[in-house]
Amino acid sequence: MDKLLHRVRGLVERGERVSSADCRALFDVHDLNEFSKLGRIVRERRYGKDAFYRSVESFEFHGGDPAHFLSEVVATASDDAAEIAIKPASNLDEGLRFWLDRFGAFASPGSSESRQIFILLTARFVTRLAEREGMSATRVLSSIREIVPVRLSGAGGELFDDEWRGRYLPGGITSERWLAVHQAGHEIGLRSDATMTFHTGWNPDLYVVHLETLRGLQDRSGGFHGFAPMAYHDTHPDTRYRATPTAAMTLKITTISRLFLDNLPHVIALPGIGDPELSYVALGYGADTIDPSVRPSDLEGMRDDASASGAGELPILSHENPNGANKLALSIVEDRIREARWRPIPVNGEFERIPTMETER
Amino acid sequence: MKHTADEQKGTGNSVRSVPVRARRKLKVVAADFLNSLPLTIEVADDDYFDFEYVVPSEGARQLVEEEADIALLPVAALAEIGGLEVVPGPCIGANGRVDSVVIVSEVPLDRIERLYVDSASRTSVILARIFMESVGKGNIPFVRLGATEILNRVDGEAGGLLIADVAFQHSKRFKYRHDLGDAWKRLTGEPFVFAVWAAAPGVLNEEIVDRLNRRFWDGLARKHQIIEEWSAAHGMPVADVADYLDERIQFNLNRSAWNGLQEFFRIASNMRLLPDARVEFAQKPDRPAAQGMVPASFGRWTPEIVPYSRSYGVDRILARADGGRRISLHDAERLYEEADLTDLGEVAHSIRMKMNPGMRVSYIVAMNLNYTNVCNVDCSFCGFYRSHDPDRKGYDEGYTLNREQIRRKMNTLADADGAQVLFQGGVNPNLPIEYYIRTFAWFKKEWPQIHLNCLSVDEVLGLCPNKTPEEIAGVLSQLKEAGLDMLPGAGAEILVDRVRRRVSRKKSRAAYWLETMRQVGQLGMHASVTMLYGMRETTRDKFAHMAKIRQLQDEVSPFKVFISWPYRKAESLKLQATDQSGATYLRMQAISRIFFDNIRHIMCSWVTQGPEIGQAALWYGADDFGSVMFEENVVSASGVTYRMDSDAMEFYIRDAGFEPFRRTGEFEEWNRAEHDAVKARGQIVEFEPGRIY
Repeated sequence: MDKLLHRVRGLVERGERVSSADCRALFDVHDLNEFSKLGRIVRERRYGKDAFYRSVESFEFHGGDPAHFLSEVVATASDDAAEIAIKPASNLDEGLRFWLDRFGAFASPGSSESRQIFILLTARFVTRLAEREGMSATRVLSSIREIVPVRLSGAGGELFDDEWRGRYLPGGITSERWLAVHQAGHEIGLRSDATMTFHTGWNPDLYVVHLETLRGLQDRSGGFHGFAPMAYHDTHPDTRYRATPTAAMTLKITTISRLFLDNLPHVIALPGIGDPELSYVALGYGADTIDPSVRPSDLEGMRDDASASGAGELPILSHENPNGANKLALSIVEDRIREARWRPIPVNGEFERIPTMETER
Repeated sequence: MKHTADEQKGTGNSVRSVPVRARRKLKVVAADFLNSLPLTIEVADDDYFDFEYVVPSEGARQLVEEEADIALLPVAALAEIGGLEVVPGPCIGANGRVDSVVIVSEVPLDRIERLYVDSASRTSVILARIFMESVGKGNIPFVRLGATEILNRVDGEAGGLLIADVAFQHSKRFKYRHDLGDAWKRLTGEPFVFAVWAAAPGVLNEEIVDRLNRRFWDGLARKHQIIEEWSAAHGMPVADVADYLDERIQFNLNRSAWNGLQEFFRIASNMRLLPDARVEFAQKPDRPAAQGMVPASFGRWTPEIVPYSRSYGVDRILARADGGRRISLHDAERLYEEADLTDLGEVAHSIRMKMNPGMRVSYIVAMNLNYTNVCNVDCSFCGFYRSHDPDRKGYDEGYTLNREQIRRKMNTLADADGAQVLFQGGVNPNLPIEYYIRTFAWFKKEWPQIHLNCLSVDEVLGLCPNKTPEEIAGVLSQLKEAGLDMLPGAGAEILVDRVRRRVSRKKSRAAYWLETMRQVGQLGMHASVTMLYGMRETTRDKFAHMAKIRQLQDEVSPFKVFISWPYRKAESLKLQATDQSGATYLRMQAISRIFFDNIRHIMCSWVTQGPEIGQAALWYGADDFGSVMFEENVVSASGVTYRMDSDAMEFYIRDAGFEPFRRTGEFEEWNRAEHDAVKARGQIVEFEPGRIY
């Protein structure tokens, strides 16, 4: 194992690629101290002590009166947020025209609204619209982008394994479709996050295939700006350990993805999923960005699974989220980043820095 | 001589006077020992200072907790605290025989197998360690006793370290005497320095240094008065007192004394007796460089400020800690503020592997049995307690379990092969010591296999109306006799009274908490020790807490394990929480592993942190995963509700790459056969239904 770590360290220090075989072997290493050291080599070479956090607040839109919806969103969104993401519900069987009519209302939210508002589309939503309308994903994305700012969400990436998807994502889209939508988006200039769902009990071979696939697409399209590992979790105190990725797994995957995905700019930790405190620790394992806007419902497999069991959307333990079950106040995010001895830098969904009093000085 | 604050004396140097109205008086503390009086007698009369005579340990405490600005500090404390500046000029030292620090015995040195030492002087104890090591007796046990008791115990193969008046007056009655001032001189060729004026960085300036030096010379001029008054007050011959001050004590921190001090720190650090220390003079930017390491003249005051223990870089602190060197309080502060969590984790894990070899992690099957929530302490961070006062809110929700209720819980624990009960509650003024004596005796008779880890310090102190050391020792002895095995470390919180007064006005002061644990150690019992941070205390407060624990552990070794966790604010509590992040938790835990070179085990607190951070903590210095909890009422009262059974604990430990094993309350590996054999000896105790005791 020492030889493996030594070899990987050498590769990382020389800026060379980690092979799939080494990637797989790293999953059998336990030494978290070593993972931390390796992860930091890469993230500090890229960003020093900077730790980014996304200043985005997201809302799910179920296709109702857009003007009413928008007024509610504007009223409830945190003043801290620089951007507001509107995520259309992907389970509605409405056509492109229906959505274009509604999205049009979001294009001009009013001169008093300084926050950027955009539509955050999932690959699943785009695929369903494309299939319903008999058009390509590129066409769907272009049509929507013509009337309103659009971004492509990383949700639904889950794991690129058909057997797994058949079990955990019944009714979901295939890996091929997910990748095709993202590639289409990248080709027309959209950028997106890549994601991967993981769990302690699953075979690491699946993760290696998934990471290989992402790295390959990124080599071709260059359109991913970040990668977010997403812990499939169960928050019930009596059962969580049996169905929840452990800290060891989460931190290990953070580092391995940082080492392996050498062509992706950012690795993102998600305080809204799993133990929020672990995401700030992950900044020392290769992650460079905190995205508090991602919620458990963004794991399509987990949401479906929870709904099927009647559990509904999984709550985050309330004491860890004083400002609401699924939302973290950005001031808390900043404080946590500072407590972990990193320099908090607010960014928008596209990783553009948001000027602050501090940065302007 | 009475001095005024704006008084100036010409020294040939430009000394600016600061108007007294424009500044707070500097608090100066020192011991009123004979050898310190020439340094202090005039300072005490100087209106420029707010002066107080205190015992040396209190002086160190005040300096650490920023209640005093300048202290006449024993040099061991100087090293333990670290990062302080030393006033050049005066000191208390000895260039050869000193008469006030003497090892006595009735047998030659090579036949001494035990040394009784007076714990009042840490510097002298370390000097004695160095001396005994130099004569090939470095491994003999040092047993701490009161000064007068030592005189009665020195006999046969037991020697004694006598200090101060006791040494003066009684050392001559023993057959063999070894003066440690003389021994040091022969060992190193240099004087020994016992104490110096020290201050936190930023306090000293040229005016203050000058003033302290002038007061020293003024005090030295009153030496004959000091000799006469001391002689009269202590019944000592004038000639002996005069000889001591005139011939034995060296008051100048000259070049050779300075070398002696550096040598003491070097040897003590190599022997792992003191933190690694580096001593050098500051190079004031507006002054020409001093010749070499020290100013040309030591005899009179010099404008150079001497910083003590100019800190190493964080990397070097960590490297030396990993090499087995003790770190100072100041080093710990720097690690907390500046070190990377990755580096802290790596060194903490490395030290953990040296102290507890093997990739094994222990856990225990235990129960928190919260027998009462009635309490008269009113901690502002506690959501569990209910007041004992009928006029207070929540009084009606107070409970005390009766014996049937307790038996049900104990049987649940016994049925699960539990190894320990953590019997804790509020400080319930309605329960006398007989309640605890009968309860522990009952437990030992009915469930002899279960280790009794019972009563926080405040619960013990609740049974001690006078809170004297003798009374505390008496209560603990009775409880031990009844069956008490160990004390949990709960209630330590932060052992700084400024913090304790703010968060819990009625809670025991730090000195009482420490005294209780001192008695625990002296009775040969053990305890765990905790730290509750995140109550808006300062970084200094956190590590002052740790320093006090480490020093007590050096003295009487009561502690088996250290555990820290942050205060969690429940909605109903007013006290605001800070330092809440998991990253801070890992940082604190890692530093505790590095800092406590004398406490073997570090337990992670998954109960407060959750299993994820709890698991990660195993790579940040923890070797114990704590306890399977059947029931927990105190932490959960703040809204934190994590639970784990044995399967879950073993899963998390294995998943992190370690091998789990069950342990006993004494941190030995749990053995089923032994457990069952003891369990079989249990006898059911009959009692009347509904009885509390």
